[in-house]
Amino acid sequence: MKYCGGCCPRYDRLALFEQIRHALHGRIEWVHHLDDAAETILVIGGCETDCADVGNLKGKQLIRLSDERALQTVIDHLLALK
Amino acid sequence: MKTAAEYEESLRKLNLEVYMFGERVANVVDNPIIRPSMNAVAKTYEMAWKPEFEDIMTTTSHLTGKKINRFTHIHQSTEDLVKKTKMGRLMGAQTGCCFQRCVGTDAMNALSMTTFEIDKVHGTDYNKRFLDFLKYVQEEDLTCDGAMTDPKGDRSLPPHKQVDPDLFLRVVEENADGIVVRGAKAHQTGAVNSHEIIVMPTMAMQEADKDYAVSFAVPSDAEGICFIMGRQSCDLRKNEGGNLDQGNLFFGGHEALIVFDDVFVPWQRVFMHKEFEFSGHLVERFASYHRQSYACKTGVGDVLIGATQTISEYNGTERASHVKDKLIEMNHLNETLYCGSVACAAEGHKEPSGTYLVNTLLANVCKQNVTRYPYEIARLAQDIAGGLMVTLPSEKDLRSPETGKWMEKYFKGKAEIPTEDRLRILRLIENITLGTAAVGYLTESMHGAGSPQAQRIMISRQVNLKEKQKLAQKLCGVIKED
Repeated sequence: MKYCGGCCPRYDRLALFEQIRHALHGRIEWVHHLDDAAETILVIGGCETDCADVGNLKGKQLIRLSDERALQTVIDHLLALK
Repeated sequence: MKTAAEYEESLRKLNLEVYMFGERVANVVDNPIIRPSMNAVAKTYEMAWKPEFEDIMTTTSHLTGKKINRFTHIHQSTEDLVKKTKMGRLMGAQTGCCFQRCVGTDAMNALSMTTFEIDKVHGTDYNKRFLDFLKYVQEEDLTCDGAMTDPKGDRSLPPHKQVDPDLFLRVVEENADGIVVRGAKAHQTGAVNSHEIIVMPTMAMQEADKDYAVSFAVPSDAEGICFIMGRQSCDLRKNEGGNLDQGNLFFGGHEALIVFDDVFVPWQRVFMHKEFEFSGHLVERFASYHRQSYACKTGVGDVLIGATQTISEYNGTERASHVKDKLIEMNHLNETLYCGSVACAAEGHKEPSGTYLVNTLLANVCKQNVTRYPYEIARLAQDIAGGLMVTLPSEKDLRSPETGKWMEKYFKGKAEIPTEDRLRILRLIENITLGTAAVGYLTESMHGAGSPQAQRIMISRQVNLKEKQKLAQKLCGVIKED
């Protein structure tokens, strides 16, 4: 996964990721976004600007979350990954 | 990239000549008055290793392709410029003070352009020398002080007409190996937390002042350099041994006078020497970047607004409509500062050297706002905090068996809030609005990167009044369109 830089987040990004990690416990192995083994990158942005640099993630499937209200949608999406 | 611990160790290896309160400082890193400023710079190293800040704090070097701390980066896109603005806000918010490292970044970016331009006209190799220096800075992840401001003496006279010719830094000797410089640079933020000092001329020079048109980089412990630390409001609280009255327990800034007493600079570290016609070019570019850098005050403003909301809750005034409205106003002003910095970054452009420069008109507008709005934000914070902020007895009285019980009793706000928490928040607001951090939040906002009139001159030069007049004259028929 990859975070935005957190200059002025509208919500607690780390806490949100912990909720995702907890909901998906045992189903997903989380690695650094530059790890070659990463098949899908969850990009967590702290606001709707969603400015995390993904230029070096070409060819990877990206799932973007920049609004905490979209948490369940993202969890459902991740659960559906094969 | 260095870790924060490696950065601290690297400072311990420096042999700096530093004076404070009339004495030479034997151990700069651990001195309790200087230490908080070192902690603030160290935070720029620490945060680069954290995944939740990595996207802002790090980037890829355009020279080596390696991951570097963004403070050592030369901007390659408007995205880079915007990320630099965000980095300023982030660091201001995390430290609540001036974290000092931006000046060197701005100096390097300006030099990346000016050295290129000088070489084009004069066939010199300044750009190569600069890039060699930059590679070193990036490889070693160094902190650089960007030293521009000369003491200046009689402001009505140019450098060569000053009674004392040393009131502007100049070249006094040159030989086959390099130059010798003499003078001083004032108000140098973070000087003793820096590995290198990058010197630039303080204003556009004419031919008679060509000895003053000099730019170079030297190690901060080069022979002949000494630092005289500036005092700050409430500075001695850091010597009191407590952990409440300082307000900000961890971080702070510092400023120093740097004296160059016949300092030798080898040619490979000289980036401008007598090309006086380019001195204004360098000054304007540095000033534009540095005016953008005041996004940091938005971050400090974030802290102050958070502290103000907190004290309103501790006081039990948070539901009062005027308190809510004042907090809205604080946020409005704070975000307006941010708007200016983002705007000048987003509207940046590529220079012939390849470096991206901010929109200089908008950078000056940004900084002009910064000379005013922190004062109003601070005023509103003090309004909401109340007068206790400046009449509060000391921490020693709080801890004393005779007086502590009275402070606990009579300084309680809401019943469920520990009295000490209320006092801590009050001390933080005091710190930012009139204590050591007010140096950075207020007076540096006023004068840093050029005093208010400097921005007004630049705004006046860059707006196209003739075009605006035509717009008006067309609409009312003074100019008739065919």
